[in-house]
Amino acid sequence: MADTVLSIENLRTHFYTRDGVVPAVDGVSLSVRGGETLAIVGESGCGKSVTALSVMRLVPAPGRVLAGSRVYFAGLDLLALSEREMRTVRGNKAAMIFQEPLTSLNPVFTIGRQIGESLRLHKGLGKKAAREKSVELLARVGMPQPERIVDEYPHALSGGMRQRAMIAMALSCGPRLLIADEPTTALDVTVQAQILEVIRELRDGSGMAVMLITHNLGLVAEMAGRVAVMYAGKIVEQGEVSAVFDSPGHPYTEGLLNSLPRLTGRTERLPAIPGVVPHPACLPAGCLFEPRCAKAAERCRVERPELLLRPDGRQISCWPQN
Amino acid sequence: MRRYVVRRVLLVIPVMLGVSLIVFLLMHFTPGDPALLMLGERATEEQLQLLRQEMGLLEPLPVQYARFLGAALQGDLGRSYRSGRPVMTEVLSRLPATAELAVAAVVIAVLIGVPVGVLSAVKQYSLLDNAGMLLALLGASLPSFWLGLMLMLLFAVNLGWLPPSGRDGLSSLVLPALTLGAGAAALITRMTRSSMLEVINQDYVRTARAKGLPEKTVIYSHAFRNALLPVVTVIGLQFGALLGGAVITETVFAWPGAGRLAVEAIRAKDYPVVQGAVLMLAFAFAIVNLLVDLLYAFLNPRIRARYK
Repeated sequence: MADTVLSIENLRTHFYTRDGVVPAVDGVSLSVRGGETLAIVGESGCGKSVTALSVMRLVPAPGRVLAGSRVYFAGLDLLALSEREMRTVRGNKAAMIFQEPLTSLNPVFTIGRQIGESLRLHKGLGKKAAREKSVELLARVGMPQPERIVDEYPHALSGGMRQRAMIAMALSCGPRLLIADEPTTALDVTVQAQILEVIRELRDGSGMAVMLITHNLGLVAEMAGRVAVMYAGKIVEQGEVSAVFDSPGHPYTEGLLNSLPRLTGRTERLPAIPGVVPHPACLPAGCLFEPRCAKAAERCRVERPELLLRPDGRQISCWPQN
Repeated sequence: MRRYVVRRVLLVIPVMLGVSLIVFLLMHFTPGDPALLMLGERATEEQLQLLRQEMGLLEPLPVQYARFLGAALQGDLGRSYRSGRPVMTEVLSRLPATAELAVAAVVIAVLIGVPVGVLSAVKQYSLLDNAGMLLALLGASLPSFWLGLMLMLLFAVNLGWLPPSGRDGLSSLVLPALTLGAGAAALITRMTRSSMLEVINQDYVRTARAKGLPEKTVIYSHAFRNALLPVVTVIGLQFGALLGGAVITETVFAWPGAGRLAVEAIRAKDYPVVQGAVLMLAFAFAIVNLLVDLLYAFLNPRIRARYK
């Protein structure tokens, strides 16, 4: 089994807004090994993106990672690093790609310059060497005509091509961890498949760890080995994808899976999870999912369940009677 | 890019036609008889009629305009009623002073406005930001005649550091340029600040940070270059406005520019000079705007691409 590349322990990232404290991430623990893909799934606002940004230490104000949180990456205690030391990690050993390839590239710089920038910064390459390497990287992520594209501006590229360019940029320095935050959400289905294929090939080829953030369960099944389901800033279930999908242990996971449209059989109305995510300012006293849970019992209303490790290696935060 | 340049240059033509027509009509409908003005109260009706004929004032309006336009295209804007010298010569002798003042004012406005705007945005809501915004508010709201007089009082009369008026070397340029540039500096500060604030929250700035770039590079290379685009447009418009709007400042500081020439000419009802001065200032304005648009295209790859 490969080494653990990233390990997060009790990560808490809160936003100190005018309307009160929003615990966007509240006690998340997870780990990713080399060559493995861990998917983090959940609804919008469940804290999956903030988890990723916390790892990169790019949480925007007024958000703050609380004391007591731990992020270990490749032998480094990331939260203890100085900003200068952290910069040698970002884009170098740990890289990130974002949801919106359309707006994530700088419109006034050429693709080559933007990819080359990382290489020059972290690998000390000269202008010419950086350009050559950029062409090579573009070719590796399946960009057609990389020699031409390298001198193009982002506006001349399609969404899929831009995401390829983003991936080339992220991979430029050979990272040990790639965080992909909804990398295909903004893309056409056919392009999605191509982009995923690129990420998968690169992962298998280099043994890098991938943290895939998505709300698309189909993507999880296709890409990830393990999955962490997040709800209202906490992980409610974590385990092997096949096991979790076959027999979801948490009613929320079950709800997510049930709300997927299926091709087999006549579909009536898709079962949706009733209600909405609770407002962070008025969280329920018991289980966070209790107000929306069909199986909620009296105990769920008063006592919040812990995320417990079960004998089969899965972690579920739900009272045993369910 | 060439297509864009050609297009932009051609666009100057209708603008100048429009300006010339407005100037021409304005002068024509202004009360007062040029012939009477030239010959004086004691001239006989015959003399007046003769002069009117000579000056072409009795012909139909479109003919007069066509004549005016034809002559103007050949660089002939008529003669000054007062001095008898060609208007072109008069205006051209004053334009360098106005251009010098406007350039100095823009340089000051950019040197103050852009850095203050950027810092205000980067340190939003800080003491520095609040101070910068207060200054901008003052700069935008102080009328230039008052600001000019106050600066003159302080630096020329009380401290005696700078000459109070006239155009004699670099030291005489400082006060009028400051006066003229204050409003533009305020506008550029506010524009730069809001443009930076907008850009700082863009996804590509986050991408730049995720690359591990130092914050300085993120702000001054990735964000600033994008934030500059709307600012360049404002700077250009301001420069154009300063060329034509230096009238008050030029008057306060007795600066021998084209604006003051126009004011003097209006007072003396020297219509050809007014006409010529306005036309030339409008032309300068159009040229400056043309240059700004070209610069904008140079800075913005999306515009360049559209006209490939």
